[in-house]
Amino acid sequence: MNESRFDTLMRSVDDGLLEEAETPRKNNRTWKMIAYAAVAACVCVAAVGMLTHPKVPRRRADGKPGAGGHRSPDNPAGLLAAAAG
Amino acid sequence: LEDEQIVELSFRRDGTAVKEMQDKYGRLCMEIAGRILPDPRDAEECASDAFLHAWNSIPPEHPRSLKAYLARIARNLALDRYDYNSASRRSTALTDAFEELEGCICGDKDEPERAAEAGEFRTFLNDFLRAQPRDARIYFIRRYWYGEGIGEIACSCHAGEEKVKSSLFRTRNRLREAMIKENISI
Repeated sequence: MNESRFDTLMRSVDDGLLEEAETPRKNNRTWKMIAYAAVAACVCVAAVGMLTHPKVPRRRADGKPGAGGHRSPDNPAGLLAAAAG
Repeated sequence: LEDEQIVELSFRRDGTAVKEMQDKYGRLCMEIAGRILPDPRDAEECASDAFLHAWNSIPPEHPRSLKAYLARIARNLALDRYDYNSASRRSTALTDAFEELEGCICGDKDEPERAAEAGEFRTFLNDFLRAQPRDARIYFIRRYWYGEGIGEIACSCHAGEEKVKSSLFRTRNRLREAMIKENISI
């Protein structure tokens, strides 16, 4: 192989292309791992929320809050009924 | 320091420019020269000479990319040294790359004819490389300009060796086809 001919071929490459090739590339795997970690974190938050969030009280037909349920502060009728009786 | 600041230091003839270049790009120049020259002492000498050449040529030169500028000087010096040493020919990392590209280089031409086509070829090659997918272009330049091995490219580009190999194979074929189509030979 004639190295000078090879050199002729490659000597023509522009500086911009050389720099692009030499610049370290971002590791795609790192971004994938970050994405997986974010998804896992979301799933954990959702699971913890489902386990710890208080149950939403079911209102009975007469307007009183259901047994064992929490009184909703945005339901003054329910609160009054509970206080009265 | 940023490259532009180093170039400015050199323009002001401030000797710290050479030290800054060595600190920032010494390893790169050593690696480039080391892929061409089997003797690390030769490679080290070429790397040192590259900074001296840069110091002497800036100004008047004002390189757009100091990194590429130094890399090119180091490579050219190493190739000159390789020619000088080639009385006892030894295989180097770049020799393998030479062999792979041989299929793209055909025909014997005399020097004036080659010189006349040099400008045309420069445009052709850079247009060809820019038209390639980014990964393929990077693998090609790392392999055939920087002389990196397949394993090194795969490692630094976070790709499998087979992917790099097949990409280089396809790019070489496209280069050959493009050269035939444009009726270009060197």
